[in-house]
Amino acid sequence: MWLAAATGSQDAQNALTLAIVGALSALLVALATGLFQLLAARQNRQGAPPENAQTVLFERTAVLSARADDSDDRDEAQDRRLDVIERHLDMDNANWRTPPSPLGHHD
Amino acid sequence: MLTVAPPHWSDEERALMTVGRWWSNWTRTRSMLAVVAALHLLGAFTLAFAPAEQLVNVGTQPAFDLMPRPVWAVLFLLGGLCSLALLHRFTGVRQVATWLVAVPAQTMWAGSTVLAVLHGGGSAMALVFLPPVVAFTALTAVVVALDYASGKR
Repeated sequence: MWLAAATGSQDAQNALTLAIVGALSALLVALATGLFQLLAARQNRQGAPPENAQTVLFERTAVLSARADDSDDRDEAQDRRLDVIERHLDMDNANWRTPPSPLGHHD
Repeated sequence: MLTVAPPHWSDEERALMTVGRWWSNWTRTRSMLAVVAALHLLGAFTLAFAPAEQLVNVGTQPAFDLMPRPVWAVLFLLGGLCSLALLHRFTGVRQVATWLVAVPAQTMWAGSTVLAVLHGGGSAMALVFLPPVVAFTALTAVVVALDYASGKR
């Protein structure tokens, strides 16, 4: 009977030891992860946020799109300028578009 | 004006590129995490469905004295599911949840074997193998945390 009691108390002691081990490891994990989150949050506040590939792609696409719009605007301005020049040339000489004859004859 | 014709990818080539991209994103950290997840899910399955006489012995008795089989099975299942969630995406909350379940469960299980061996029973070889499993899980936690801090999700 004392053996059973001793065994029983031994089992209870083992279970208690395990419970303490489990609680301590959980506490350790909670402390470590909490400390890490704290440090990571502080680092994020201090440093620039890490860029992920998608953000970089979005930014580059936006820059290229803006540049393309600028180019379109410049092209339109140049087209208008060319139209004005052509109108002036038309007024001066209606045949200015005809290439000069290689023999030097002018019609 | 296009100076180079855009390449025409076949469905097979597209599928191959998808697999390649998926594989290049699959880092060493995620492989370690997958091992942890598989370990816990396998543990949960074993605890739920293995015959009692193959589970309860001198080495595991302290663990089962602390909590019954179904609770251990649920705990390991929870650890596996949390690991899978973390595998899908690294977040602070998922890390805390995963390691708060996985590490104590493994530590208690290893501790059960340690106690049994200290009292003259249990499996000495289990004592060799179980602590490295806990160490591997702890190492995975550190590596995931470092990846998370460096912006990898």
